[in-house]
Amino acid sequence: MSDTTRHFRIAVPELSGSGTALLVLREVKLPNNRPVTLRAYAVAPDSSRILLGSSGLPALAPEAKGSTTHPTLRITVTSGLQRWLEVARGATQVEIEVKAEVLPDTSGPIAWSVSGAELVPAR
Amino acid sequence: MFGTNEEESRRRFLQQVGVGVLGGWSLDSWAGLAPPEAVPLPLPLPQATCALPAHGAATAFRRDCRPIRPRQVANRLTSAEVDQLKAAYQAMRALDTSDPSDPRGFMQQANVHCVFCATDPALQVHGSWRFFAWHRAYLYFHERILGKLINNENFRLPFWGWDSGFPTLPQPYVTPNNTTNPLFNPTRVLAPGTALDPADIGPTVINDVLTLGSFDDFGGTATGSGTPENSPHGTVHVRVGGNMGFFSTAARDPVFYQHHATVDKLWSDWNKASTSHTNPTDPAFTGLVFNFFDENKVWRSITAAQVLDHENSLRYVYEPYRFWDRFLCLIWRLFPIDWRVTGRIVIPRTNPRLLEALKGETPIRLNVRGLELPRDRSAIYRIYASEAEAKADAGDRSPGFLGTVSVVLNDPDNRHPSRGTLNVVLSVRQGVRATLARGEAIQPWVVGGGDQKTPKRAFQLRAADVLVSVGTPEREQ
Repeated sequence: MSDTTRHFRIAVPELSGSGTALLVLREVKLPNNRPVTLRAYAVAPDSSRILLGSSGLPALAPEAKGSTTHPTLRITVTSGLQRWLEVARGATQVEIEVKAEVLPDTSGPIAWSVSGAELVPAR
Repeated sequence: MFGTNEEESRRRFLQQVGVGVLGGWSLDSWAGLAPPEAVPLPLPLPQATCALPAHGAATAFRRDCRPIRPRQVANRLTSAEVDQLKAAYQAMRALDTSDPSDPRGFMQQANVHCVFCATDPALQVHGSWRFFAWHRAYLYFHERILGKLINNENFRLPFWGWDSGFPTLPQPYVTPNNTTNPLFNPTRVLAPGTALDPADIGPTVINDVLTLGSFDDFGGTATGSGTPENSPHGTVHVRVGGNMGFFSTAARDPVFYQHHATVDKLWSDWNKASTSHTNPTDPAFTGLVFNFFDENKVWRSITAAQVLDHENSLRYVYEPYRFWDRFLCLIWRLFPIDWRVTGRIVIPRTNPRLLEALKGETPIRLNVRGLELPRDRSAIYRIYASEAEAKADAGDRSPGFLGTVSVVLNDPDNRHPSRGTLNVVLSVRQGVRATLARGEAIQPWVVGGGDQKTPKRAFQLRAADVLVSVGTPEREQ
């Protein structure tokens, strides 16, 4: 799959007893004619990537024009974040990479954007 | 967004599809779309190829009185069940050519998803708490149509099962993998035998979803989606690819319905995972109205409230299932039997209807009112049709076993004893039916109440009154 990546450095939240956590992406703009999967990774101290979670977004239609901006996209990252916390003990910030993956086709890399990200405890 | 002519066109379109006003839908309520860009967006598809057949006012869905049956994982269907599944879809596809306007046809069914997911943002069912409820209702009516087409009211959709160890396309959908198979779709990118990525449907993903603590996070809110909508629901759509990758065409792939049955099962499993996993009670959610054609081509309305209890309301469960309710919806009619005079259960000869019911298969119950039992201790009591059976106390293996009654103290010291009347309903099984049908009397006895210090004891049942009720199947509405 071809992909493009966005990077964030965000604060690690105080989690409740259950440790359930969400990654919230803000103002995610995606084309209306290409299905996309966004994959979020936390960068470990040894620079390896730990998968936090994914978000799959079917497109409107193959012939649809323009793009759609999602005000927020939420991804459950509970287990992935716990794995990262085990190797990054004491860290107050985490570097996160968000990759946009599309199935191979003739349209080339996908043009997309995201304005911000934060980690929050689940409700 | 729309010019004058387009606004009128949009108004006619909304009237055609019967937008549910109780849901309070508006352009602002679909968080997945931002206000349009400067250049006016054309609708993704011409209305002629993504529209519903004309219809009149909706008839409200009332009750489903079919037996409860399980939806099974597709890869575990028997060959006969696979044949039936394929026959149903073959019949549905045949309508595409024999009567393209029939709302039960395969493309018409696919158009339902296109209309409500890829046309007007005001109709969009993704990106909010409508997602799970609307798709449950969509699958329900789709399932009933399939059953009707093969004359089998017990037909239930299979589910894919990617949540429970089946990561490849279900076998019936790829065997054979060509157009002779009504479950085939040529646009899929996911090849037969290729597993979905564990990052999308693995145990970690499923467990993270099932442990979400609120419906806000699981199913979404009025203005935002829950996380499972995007993962694993969305990631599977994208990975299967082809028609499945787009809202407008996703339901043109038959595996769409098996995918969404698995998504629906996820909702069911989340509700069962904890007593705190409750669905919203906000009338803005429960009052959402959805419209579909049913198996008789009747334009129906159904509310979100009516789909929350899929087992009793929509008559399906997901395997593994605990039990099947084999009884249809029943109306119970009570008949007095002179208990107060005789102290015995005997069917009066003057009630031929009741005697006739006893000879057949009609469900019969005993309604015991004001049952007298010791209320000074917590205990379990068993009721039998005779003294001998009560003293033998063989439980439900005994032909005269009528049922069990529990007495539970409000507090260990019984400082707040229950004062209400004890009323119980007991099923009448075959052995007892035969006795009563012969006009013979039965004298119920009770046994129980023992513990480590005191033995159980048997005594004649005493109650203020006993009536017999007969169940009559209720017509579906």
